[in-house]
Amino acid sequence: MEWLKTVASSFKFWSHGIAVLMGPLMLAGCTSHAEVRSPKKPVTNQYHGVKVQDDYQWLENGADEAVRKWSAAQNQQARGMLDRLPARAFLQERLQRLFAETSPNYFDLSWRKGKLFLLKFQPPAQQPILMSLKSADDLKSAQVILDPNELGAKGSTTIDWYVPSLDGQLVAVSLSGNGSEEGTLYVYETATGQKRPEAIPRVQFPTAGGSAAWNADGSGFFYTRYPQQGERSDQDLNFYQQVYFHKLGAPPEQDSYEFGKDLPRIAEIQLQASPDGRHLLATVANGDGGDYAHYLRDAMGQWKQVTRFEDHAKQAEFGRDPLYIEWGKDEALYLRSTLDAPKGKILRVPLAHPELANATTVLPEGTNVIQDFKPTASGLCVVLLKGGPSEVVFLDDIEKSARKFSGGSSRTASGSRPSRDPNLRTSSAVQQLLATRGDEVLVRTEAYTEPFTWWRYDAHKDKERIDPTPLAGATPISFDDVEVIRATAKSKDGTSVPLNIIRKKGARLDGEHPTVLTGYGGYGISQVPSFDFTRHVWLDQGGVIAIANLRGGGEFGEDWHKGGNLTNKQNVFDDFAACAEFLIRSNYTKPAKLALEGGSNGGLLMGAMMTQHPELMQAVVSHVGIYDMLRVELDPNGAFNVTEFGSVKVPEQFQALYAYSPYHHVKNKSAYPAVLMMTGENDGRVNPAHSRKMTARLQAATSSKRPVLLRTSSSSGHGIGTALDERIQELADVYSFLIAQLGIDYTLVDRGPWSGAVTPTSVLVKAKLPYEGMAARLAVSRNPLLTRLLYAPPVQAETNHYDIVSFNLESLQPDTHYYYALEINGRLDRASRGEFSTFPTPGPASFQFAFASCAHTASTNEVFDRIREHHPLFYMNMGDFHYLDIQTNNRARFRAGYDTVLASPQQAELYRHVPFVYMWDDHDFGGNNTDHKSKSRVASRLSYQEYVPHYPLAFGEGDIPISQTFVVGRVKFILTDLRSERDEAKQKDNAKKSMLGRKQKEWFKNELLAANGAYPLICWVSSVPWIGEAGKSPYRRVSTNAFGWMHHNNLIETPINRTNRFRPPPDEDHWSVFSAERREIADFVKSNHIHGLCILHGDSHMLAADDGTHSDYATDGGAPIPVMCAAPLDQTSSLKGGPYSEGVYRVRNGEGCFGLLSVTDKGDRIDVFYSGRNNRNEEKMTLRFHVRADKTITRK
Amino acid sequence: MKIHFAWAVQALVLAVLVHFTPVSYGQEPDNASKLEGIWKWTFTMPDGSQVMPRLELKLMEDGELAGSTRIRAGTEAPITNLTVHGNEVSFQVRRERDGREVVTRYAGIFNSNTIHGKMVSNWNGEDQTYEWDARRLAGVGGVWKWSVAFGGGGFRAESTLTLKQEGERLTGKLSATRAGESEIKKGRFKSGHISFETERERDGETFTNRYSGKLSGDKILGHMELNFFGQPRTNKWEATRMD
Repeated sequence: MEWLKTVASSFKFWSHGIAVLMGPLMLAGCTSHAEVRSPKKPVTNQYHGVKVQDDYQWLENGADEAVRKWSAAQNQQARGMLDRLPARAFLQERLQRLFAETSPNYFDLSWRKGKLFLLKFQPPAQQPILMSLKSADDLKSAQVILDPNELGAKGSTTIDWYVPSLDGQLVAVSLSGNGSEEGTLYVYETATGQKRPEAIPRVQFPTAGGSAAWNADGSGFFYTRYPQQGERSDQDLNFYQQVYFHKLGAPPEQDSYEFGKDLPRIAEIQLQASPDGRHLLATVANGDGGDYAHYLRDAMGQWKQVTRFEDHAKQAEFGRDPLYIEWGKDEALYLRSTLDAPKGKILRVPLAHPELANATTVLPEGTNVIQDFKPTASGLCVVLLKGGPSEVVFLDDIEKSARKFSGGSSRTASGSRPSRDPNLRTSSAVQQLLATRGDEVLVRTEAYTEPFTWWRYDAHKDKERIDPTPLAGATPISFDDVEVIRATAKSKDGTSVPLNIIRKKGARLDGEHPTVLTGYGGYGISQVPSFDFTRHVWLDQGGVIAIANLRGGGEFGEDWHKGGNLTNKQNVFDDFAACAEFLIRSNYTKPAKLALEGGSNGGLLMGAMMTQHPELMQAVVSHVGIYDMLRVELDPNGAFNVTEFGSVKVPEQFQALYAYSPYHHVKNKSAYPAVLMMTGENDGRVNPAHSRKMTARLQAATSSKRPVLLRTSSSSGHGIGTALDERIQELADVYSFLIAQLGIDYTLVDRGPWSGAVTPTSVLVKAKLPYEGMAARLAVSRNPLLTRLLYAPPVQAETNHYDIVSFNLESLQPDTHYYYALEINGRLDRASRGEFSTFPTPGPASFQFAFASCAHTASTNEVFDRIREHHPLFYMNMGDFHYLDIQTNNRARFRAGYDTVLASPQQAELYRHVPFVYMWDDHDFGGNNTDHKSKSRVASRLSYQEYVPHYPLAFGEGDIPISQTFVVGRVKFILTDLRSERDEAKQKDNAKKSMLGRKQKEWFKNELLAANGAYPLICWVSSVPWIGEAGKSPYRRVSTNAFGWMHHNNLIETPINRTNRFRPPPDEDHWSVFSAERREIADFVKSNHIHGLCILHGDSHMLAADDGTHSDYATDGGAPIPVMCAAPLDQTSSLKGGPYSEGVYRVRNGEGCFGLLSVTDKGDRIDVFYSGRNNRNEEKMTLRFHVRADKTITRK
Repeated sequence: MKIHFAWAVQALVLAVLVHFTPVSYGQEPDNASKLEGIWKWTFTMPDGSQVMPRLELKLMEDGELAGSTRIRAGTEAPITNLTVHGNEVSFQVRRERDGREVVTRYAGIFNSNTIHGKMVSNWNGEDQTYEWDARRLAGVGGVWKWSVAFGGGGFRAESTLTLKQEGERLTGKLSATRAGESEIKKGRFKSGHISFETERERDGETFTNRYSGKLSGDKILGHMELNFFGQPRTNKWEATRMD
């Protein structure tokens, strides 16, 4: 099936098209929509006795000079406003860079005699190229047949469709220019790309499309042709499509008429040759209403009608050769029919007697909609639609079984890519199915969050396996932080309407998300999951995208389509309004933050929504829309849509059309939303006059101060064939319009900012910018409104620094609260404003900080909000910042790991508002229980130094442990790196075995000695548990289903059996298997009279505390150290080590924990209060102790 | 094998048909027993797809040879009209699909390991003649499959082993669900015993899995020592021939 053929003609393209240009922007204060004068020239038309006045009918004549001037003025006005929008330049740059980084798209595949034909689109090329491969696995065999980018300036020539000959030696290609879809047919040699002399005009037009099919021996082809000048009246030149035959080498004037003269004026013909070329099938659509008739030409050249419009056969495919000569050739035509089966059934009609009366049902109607199918050698491959998402099954005719494709290889043959099984997710769709040879099919899938993949399935080789091919897309921007929610809205009549909500993971339902809602609802075309990386640009601004599965589409079969066409069209609008109301009621957004976007038939939807529910939205972007439903059928392509919309000639249909026609329901002095109308001068599907008239009417009527803009592109049409540069311009316009209109304080920061390394007079702030070359400086103020700013010197984002910018701001006031933001490219980025407090001056000071560890990668647990709400002086992560377990020396993976975590709204907000202190553990350093032998050690160390705002490291910079210290008041913090220097856990536990490593241990001891006496309280961040004996957990008797607080002296004696007994985790992570070194440290503390030492750690997924009773590991005692454990942030529970004097708190699933340490310096003593809390801020564990502080500070 | 759709080679067709004409359906027991076993050949259809049909012949208790053809498990069809005269064998296969019967007639001259002859089929409406070059399936070369259960969720990992035998040396590929494809190493087949290794790499470290077993008809029975990234495990191994 060649691309675009499935789209037929009409207004359909926008349904699955060019990814909805999800855009955003705002023109706050741009009110001058009355600047272009639009004189009223009333004309009255009469329909069934009803007089309808039309003030702007004069705008229908696009050739009129006055209209051209008016359009130019509108364009100038729109451009003037759009180009001034502050976000536009950034957005265009961002989009251009993303498109430049995107991978090729491979689509519209065909198979002929061992050769795969396909279109490849690889920006920055403006248009897709036609090429061939030996197989889907062999990208190296790529051979370009035709590159239309070389044909015309600015990439204005596009391939409408192509058809290879049956032997694959030649390809017939329809080419058109400037998005006009007015195609001329050429022939190219596959092997050389050489153009043959053929040039057949008028084979393709937007009205009925176009098509071709080769004969058996490749000596000629059948093709669709529109009337030549003089053959019909001028009004009918884009109607009456017929089939002709062209013999290669002969002049087109000698082409012979073949078929079609008796078809309706609005017939749309698609041609298809049987695999052996002996039969030719003509699928004839009755306009765009979804009814088809089928005609078959046999080997003798005789045409026979197989189905009529009223037979509801929607698709026809030829049977295939068998797998082996012991089975017969499948001389049959398979039909997908909705007759008495609105969800579809598949019939088989023998080619020898191709009458429907001879049909047998091979697949009856089922629960799901049969969306597509392809016969193979021994069965049928069928795509089942489930309300939007879809899946593919194979019906084995030999074994009489149905099989879902399960499993799939986790990697390609090269082992390079993870699995994306097409049937395992609810948000994916099968977008194309191609039967190649035997039982082999190629299946293209896409999901909202995953680019396309072409899969190969061969029932003969492996009935249960489908494997990805190298024909797969990659996204230039990760969608790991995005999720899709499938919700249901209740329409006015109670119908459930599915709604796909694309949002950032962890998005808060606070009613403040700028949201773009889009829909289509027409022609029986379904809104299926599709991937569009540009959506991320909107999501990055806190946006949400919602895609509705409206009636009029085919998501639930033909009944769903009929429920929204002809006189039922109002249902589509009611469904969409219900979706908008759902988004508001569910607190995703509010009317002031809601925008609607749609195109073509979806543009009609936009018109209906803004005239029926103007109060529901703030802005509307409408592409190539239809608005005057009383006169639409007067346009050439409008006539083809009478079968979908109805005709004013039919009284009841006129009543329905007039009841909703948007142009006729614009009310004077109504407050309409901001509107951006977009249209293409060369649009042959929807007359741009609709956009002109609607714009004039809205501009005259609206009482709001919001703009109504009309943007007309001279280099595009309905959207098909639009050059890449033009698409980027459109996207930038749409996004910047919505950002402005929805009042988004947009940000240019990609990740962060976050602060750390705070001292009484300085702070370190880091952030990641979207791309290199952006200039930024840090602005700091004591005022939340960011007045009277202090600046750190500017820096420029550089690719070799991963576009991370770092600012060290000094000379701040101690003990002072500051707000900060980045000034990027001269604009203060208020949207990502952060804050911090400088530390108090050295000396007695009281403060509070939070500490915790162990979070699922990019966790969005509310525990991070609870921590932030305490406004601690700093937050210290003691390890397992993520669980990526990276075990390769790959900085890109570590950088991506930080990116992933900082994409969590909950964590990003915490780190923006509370200074960060960080010491890693195993999962974020190099894998479970990892040590200095980790292959990732260097990458991990360097990435930490690059990305994390940290205190100066003890050993300088580079490939070194990340141990560090800092001071607050009279408290010394010593953070030891217990991973990157550690010996293997399995090593014999003796004096040689070390967790710290020799050099770091020496440093640690020196730090203790230096701190002793100078700082009454010394907090050692050990990261792993201190207390416990190897192989002796006091919690072995705990049942697996026992949670909450428990004490080793008071464990509840529940009957414990083999299945519910708690098995403590192995001791590898623990100081207990480094007991000799632990004793060495304890003895050091004892012998040097280290005073005021306490230990903070995580790793174990529990809250725990010990007052020193069980922590004294000095020889013969003498070094009792208070120990406090705070974890997990959201991981599942684990109990390690012990016992603990204050007990342990075992978390329930989903319960997150953290520690809050209050330090109260009373001069002669420092009181320490540890509060272990959960994600509901409930206190679950406490420990109080104090240290003497008299005279100690004076030593310093 | 090259396909000949030569409608024009009438003479050849006629000759073959004459040859197929059943003078008698008898089997010469001594010669028939020489045919017992599994025979395979490669066939390319007009659409370019390749299949490897196989013929399985067994001596029954009455001393008669019987058998079936198939292109994959579950597609077996019995052969009829089997004759063996000297080193000439002929038989036919009848299959029916969608109400249409296809008769495929095979005839050839055999020796210990090969059959060379013709096939005639009316699969596309008229008799078509093709070359038939079959070889006896010996050793372990071919396609083998097995599955292993994981966890309690009913998940089964499917493995497909494609082996090529040259003397005692085995080469080929092992492809497994969620593990991808890997070349086999140290492949050996001797005295009915098969062994080979595969390697998987994760984060720069290589893990080796070892397979060993004994050929028993259409099955290999043995053990596989699997290394799950540092955690060794030994499982029973029962592979079934798929080709």
